[in-house]
Amino acid sequence: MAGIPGIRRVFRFPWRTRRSLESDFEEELRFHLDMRAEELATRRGLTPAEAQGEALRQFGDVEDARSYIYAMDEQVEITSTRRARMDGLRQDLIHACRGLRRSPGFTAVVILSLALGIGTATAVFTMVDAFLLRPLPIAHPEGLVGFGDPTAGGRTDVGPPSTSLFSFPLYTELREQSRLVPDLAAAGYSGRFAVVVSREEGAPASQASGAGAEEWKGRLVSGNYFRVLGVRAAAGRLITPDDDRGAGGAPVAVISHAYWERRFESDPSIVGRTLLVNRTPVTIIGVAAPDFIGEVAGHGTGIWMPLSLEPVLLPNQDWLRRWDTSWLLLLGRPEGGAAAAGAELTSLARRAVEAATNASPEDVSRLTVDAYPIPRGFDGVPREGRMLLVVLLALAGLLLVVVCANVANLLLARASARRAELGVRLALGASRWRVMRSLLVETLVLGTVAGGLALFVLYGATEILVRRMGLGAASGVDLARDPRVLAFAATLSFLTAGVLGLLPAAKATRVDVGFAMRSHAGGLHGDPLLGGRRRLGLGRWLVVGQIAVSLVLLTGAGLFYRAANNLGATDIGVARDELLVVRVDAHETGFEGVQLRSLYSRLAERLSALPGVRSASYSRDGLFSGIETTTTVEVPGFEPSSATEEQANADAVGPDYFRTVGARLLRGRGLEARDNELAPPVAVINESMARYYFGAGDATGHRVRVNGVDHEIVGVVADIRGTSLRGDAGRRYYTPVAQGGEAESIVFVVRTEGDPGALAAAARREILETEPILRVRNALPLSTNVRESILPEIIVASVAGAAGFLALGLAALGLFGVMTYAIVRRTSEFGLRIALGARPEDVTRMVLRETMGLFLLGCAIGLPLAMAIARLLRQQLVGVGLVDLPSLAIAVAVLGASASLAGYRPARRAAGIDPQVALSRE
Amino acid sequence: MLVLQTLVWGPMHGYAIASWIRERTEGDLELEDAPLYKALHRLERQRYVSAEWGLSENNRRARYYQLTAEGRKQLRAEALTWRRYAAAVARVLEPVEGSA
Repeated sequence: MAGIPGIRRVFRFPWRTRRSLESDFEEELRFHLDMRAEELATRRGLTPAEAQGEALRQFGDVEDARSYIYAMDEQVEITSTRRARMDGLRQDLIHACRGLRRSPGFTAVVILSLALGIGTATAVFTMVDAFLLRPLPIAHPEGLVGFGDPTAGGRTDVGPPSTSLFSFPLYTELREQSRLVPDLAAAGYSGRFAVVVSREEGAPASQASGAGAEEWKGRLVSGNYFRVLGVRAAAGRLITPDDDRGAGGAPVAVISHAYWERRFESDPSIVGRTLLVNRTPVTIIGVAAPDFIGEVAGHGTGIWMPLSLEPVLLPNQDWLRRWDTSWLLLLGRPEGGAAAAGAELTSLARRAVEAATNASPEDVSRLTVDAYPIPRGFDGVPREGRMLLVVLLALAGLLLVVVCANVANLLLARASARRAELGVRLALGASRWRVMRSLLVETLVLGTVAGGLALFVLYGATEILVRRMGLGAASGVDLARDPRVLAFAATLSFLTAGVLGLLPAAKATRVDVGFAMRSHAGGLHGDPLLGGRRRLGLGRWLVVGQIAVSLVLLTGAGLFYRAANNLGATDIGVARDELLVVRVDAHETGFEGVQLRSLYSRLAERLSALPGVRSASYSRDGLFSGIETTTTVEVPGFEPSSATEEQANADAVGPDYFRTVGARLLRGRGLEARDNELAPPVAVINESMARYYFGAGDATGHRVRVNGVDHEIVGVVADIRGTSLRGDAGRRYYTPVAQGGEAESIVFVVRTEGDPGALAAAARREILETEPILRVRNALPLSTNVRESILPEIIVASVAGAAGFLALGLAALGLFGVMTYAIVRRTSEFGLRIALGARPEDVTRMVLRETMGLFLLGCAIGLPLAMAIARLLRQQLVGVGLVDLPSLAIAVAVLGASASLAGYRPARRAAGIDPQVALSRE
Repeated sequence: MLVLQTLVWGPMHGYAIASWIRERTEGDLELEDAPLYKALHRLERQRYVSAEWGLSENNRRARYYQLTAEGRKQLRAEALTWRRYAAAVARVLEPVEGSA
């Protein structure tokens, strides 16, 4: 161990033990004492024993020095090992970057495909998280119990008192009488409010024109709402029971954090400012905690106001007094569990309804209050949306699988190509862990860069999801600042990189050193990593897997595409390509009753006089506007066995409506101008309703009773789909607007001669010229609205298509890579074959046959999988058979074509091998 | 500082440093050796010196200390402060001429 200074560092063990540290110092000490004793002996002539004693005395307190120095040395040791390790890591890092730069094609493909896979998966996860997983940002979400129908969040029911949503009087009764729910809160109405933000304070009245109004989703809440939820205020204060006292209570509002940020740039002086909400000045008293967007998951709320403001904000509705309008969801923190509270509220509700209304005993006995814990808030996503998210998640997952398989394959090939190098390193004494670490570091570098890029993909993908699906504003999803999403992306990158890196690293370092170092160990042997001729190596299995998953994705894309097409082609009972739909809001006019009606008929006349317009009419709910009215009807002679049998959708329409929209009148007549407020009440019912209540008989001449008024049925019209292409058209009846069906918002339908979109601007101008105070919300061809209604299907189809083609591309790339690599490894084999008389065509055929073998194996696995998945998605796939042959055939054909393309070049290369060159390499 | 100064001319082992200091102070300071070793190991932890095993003049294994770049910088800084301090003290002690 004696020798040159510094040599010790090279060969020393990575960690010096405590014992070796101690013996180090003991040696140093002995050297010192010996030297000193020697000196003393020569200078002062002491005997060796005396000199030793004197040296020790001169040294001082040995024990103290010893313990002090041990402590010091230990620290030195710790920092230096840490440094050595960091140095090694840094070297690996530099080495990895250098290596990656040397093969830019490999690096680019790996990083890009990883980024795509991770980004897409994260984007979809974000959506799923926002809608299905995220708990409410409140104190003790687990104790919160909701009452009512979870999916009824945005609805208003008119009809007999219900308990899926609650009327205000019923809520008041329940709140006062419940003993198990000490503090029962309510929230309702999720329509939009017209909000005017005045620039200067104190001058809101001048802005009453409606110009500059924005629409924000608002919700009316009880005074104890925030208290029950346990939401904090980010600024100012929240609504309290004092704000919610008496009709027309305090004109105050709380805004959401997102609204505050987006609209007011987080202005700290926001508290105390006045907004005009539906023309009523309302003072902002506070901002809710960040992330709190309301009690219904996925329904973003911008502004909360007390329930008592309802009469002011929504005049003429009288919701605070009506038992027949159910619009509130209830929530509380009951003592003793949800079930007991539900039972108590059920009995209270039955008693209250019985006492206050003339509901039949059967109606009363049907009332049941459902109660269930809502730690994530009420469930705001309808079933189709939920299914859509799950399907998207599955698609993203599959894409990630393909990406991983591809990257693993590339890494494997790379590790394999570097086996000689790794063999040398192992032979020189590098530990297996050391070599694996350098490979791992390389994949981690790739993973990190890909993770960074994935963020861009993530933002792009969410942009699409949010914009095109209209989910973003509603969900309040804020990607940029959501640490959960970023954490998910980061975890995903490191996990994929780690797993992907570990596998090839473990395999590649488990090599026989001698074998690896023999220059080109090929010959007629196979490659242990990528598989030989007979055996399928890991790499080939990966390619087979990729082909299988691509097939599933492509087939799925075909199925979704066809389903969306079928759905889009559904007959909706009107001339959908010739209709322009214009939604107009007459709220600002302040008109009522007759005034409104005459305004509407005047507007219809002006619109039908426009050049290029055949006729124009209007209806209250419009077509594919997302608005639906459901009422209870009584049909003399029909005995309902449940409340749902009495329900029918309703719309109020203007004169000439059916002819304008192009509906087919099956019997009787349509609604005309003569059916006004002076004439007897009439109704036109649709075919489904006629069949339901009157069977095969003629419905005209019969009566339906709505809200106590008898309407004579004057006509039967073929079903018109008014809201959805899915499911049944449903029972529906139409009454004249002129007989009391007017509302402050109306939808004009304009039948045009040519492209309806071309007339949108003219129609808008005409309306504003007639009455400038009107607000035209939108003017769109009906076909656009219809298309929007099946956007989920269209999006799934396009996402599946994109994922399918991406997967296809990656699979082809993988196949190409594996085959090319196999050819290189087997150069001598092919050389030998050619030397022995094989013709180039034979070699080409042989390689192509191998490629096709992989492809067919992939198909054999993928086809049953694709069929199984199609079976699972049966409900989503309207009008598509279980085994959709065209989709399957196209998918297989496309895959096959790209497989042969991917195999062709390697095959040509194999055929072009010069036997002399190939064999002389051995 | 004294210890660092001894290492300016090259690596030395602990005993040599101790003897050197004794010679320079000519026994004015009755020094024990323990504090020196404690200081050396402390300086090592502070990374002002590094230590290696080497062979002494009489062919024994000895621990050699060497000034690191950081140590050199530290020495320069400390020497400067020390000189300034000494100069200041000297000025105070000098009799002042022309004072009232």
